[in-house]
Amino acid sequence: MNLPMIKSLVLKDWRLNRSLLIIYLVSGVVASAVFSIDHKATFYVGLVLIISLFATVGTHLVFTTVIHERKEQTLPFIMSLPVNFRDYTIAKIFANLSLSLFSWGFIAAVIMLVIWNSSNLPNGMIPFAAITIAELFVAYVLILSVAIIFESEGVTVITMAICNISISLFMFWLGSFSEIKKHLWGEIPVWNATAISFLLAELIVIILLIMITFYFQSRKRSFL
Amino acid sequence: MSNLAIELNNVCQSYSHFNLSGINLELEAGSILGLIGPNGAGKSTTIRILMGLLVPQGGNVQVLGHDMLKEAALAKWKIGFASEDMRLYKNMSLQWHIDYMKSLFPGWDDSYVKTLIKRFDLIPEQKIKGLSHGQRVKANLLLVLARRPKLLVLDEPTTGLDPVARQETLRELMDVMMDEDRSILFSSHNTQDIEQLSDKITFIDRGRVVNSKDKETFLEEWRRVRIEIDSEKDLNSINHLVDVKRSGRVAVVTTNKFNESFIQLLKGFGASISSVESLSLEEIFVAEVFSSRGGE
Repeated sequence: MNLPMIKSLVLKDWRLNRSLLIIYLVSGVVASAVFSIDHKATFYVGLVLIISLFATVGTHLVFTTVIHERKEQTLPFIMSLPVNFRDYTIAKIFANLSLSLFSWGFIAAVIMLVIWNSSNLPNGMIPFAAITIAELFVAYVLILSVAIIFESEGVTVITMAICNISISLFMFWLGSFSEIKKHLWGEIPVWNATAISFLLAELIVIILLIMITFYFQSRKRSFL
Repeated sequence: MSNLAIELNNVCQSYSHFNLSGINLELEAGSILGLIGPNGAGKSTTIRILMGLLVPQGGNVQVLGHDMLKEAALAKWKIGFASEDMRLYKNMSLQWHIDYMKSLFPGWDDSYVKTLIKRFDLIPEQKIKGLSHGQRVKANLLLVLARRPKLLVLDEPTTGLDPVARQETLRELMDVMMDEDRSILFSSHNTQDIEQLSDKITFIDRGRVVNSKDKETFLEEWRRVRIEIDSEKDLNSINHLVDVKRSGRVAVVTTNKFNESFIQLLKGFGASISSVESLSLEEIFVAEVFSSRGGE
C-alpha cells in the first residue's frame, strides 16, 4: 500500500470538491433553520430539504469523484501516476467517505442541536433521526460501491433511484417498530436495544459493502 | 542486466471482436521505438498492457527492469505516459496540475517547466477547459516531460495537432533524446512523425506484429523497380516480391529484400532495369500491412 500516493489522491479529491462542500454546509444550516420553525408546514419542508440534501451530497460526490473521472477521461491521467488499482480504490473510498462524513456529520450535528434546543421538536426524535441519517449513509455507500464496481453512469443512476424510493419506505418501516414509535414524541431520547440494533446493522452493512467493493476491484484486469 | 527499457514477450489479449496475439516488442535503452498501425490495430491496447493498465491474458511485460504485472506502480515513477484520450481536470488551471505533479515527483524540474511554458506558449493560470486541443496536448506533454522520466510512452501524441504544434512537439521529443539514458516509445498512424524520430519501427496490424526493424533497414530493404520484360515471363516465382504490376512489357515490382543480387536475379530472368525507386515509410507500411493480410 503506497500511503503517500493514497494521501495525495485523497487530498486531490478534497481540493476538487472544496467549493461544493462549502455550499452543502451552508445549505445544511439553512435547511435545519427551516426545520426548526414552529409550524407543521415548515417542519415537513425542512425535513424534505434535509433528506434531499443528504441524498444530493452523496450522489454529487459519487458523480464528481468516480463517474466523471471516467466520463471526462481524467482516469488515464491518474492511472499514469505511480499508483496501482488497489491504492486508487482505497483513495477513492477514503476520499468519498471522509468528504461525506465531514459534510453529513456537520449537517447531522446541526440537526441534532436544533432538535435538542427546540421546544417544538421532541428530543425523543433523536434516535429516529440518527437511524434515518445512518440509513441514508448506507444508501450512499451502496451507490459509491456500485459506481466503483460497475463504472457505469446508467447503473449508478438506477441504484440512486432505487435508494431514493427506499428511504421513504425505510422511514415508514422504522416508525412501525413499537420500541421506536412509542418514544418518538417523548422528551428524552431513548437508546433502546431496537435503536442500537438498527445502528449496528447499518454499520455492518457499510463494512460489508466496502469489503465487496475491494473484492470486485481486485478481480478487474482493465483499469481504464 | 538487460539493456532493454521495454520487453514484451508473447503478450496476448482477447476481446469478443479483436485478438492481440503473440506480441513481442523490445525497446533498447536510449532509443526511440515507433509503433505504427492502422486504426484498431492494437497500438493502444499494447501500450495499456505495457503501462500496467491492462492485465494481459498471456505473456510477460518488463519495463525498466520491473515486472509490470506486479510492480507497475514502482515502474511508473520513472515512466511518463500521455495518451490521446487522456484529459486533465477541466475546472482546474494548468498551474494547479503543475503544482500537483511537483508535489509528487522529487525529480520535478521547475526551470524546464518555465522553458516549456514559453516554448509551448501556454498560460499557467488558464483553466484546462479554456484550452484548445493542441494546447491540451502540449499541457499533457509538459506535465510528462517536466518530471524527467527515464521512459516516455506516448500514445498518438500528435493526433489532431496543427502542423506548427506538431513540429513543436516533435522538437521537444528530439531534445529528450539528447539524453542517452532516456527512451521513448510512441505510437502513431502518422508515418512522417515516426520516420522523423524513430530508431526502430514496429508495424502492427489486426493485433499482430507484422514486422519490426531498424528504420534504416526498412528504408534500405524496400525498393520499387521498374523493368522491361517479356510479357509471358512469370515473375511470381521470384522470391521477396511483395507486389507486381504489369502492363504489356513494362512491370513494376516491389521488393522487401533489395540488394545487388536481387538486381542480378531480375536480369537473369531476362528483365532490363529501367529505374529503382526508394519507398517512403508510409508506402512501406501500407505494403507490409497488405502483404500480411494476404492481399485482401
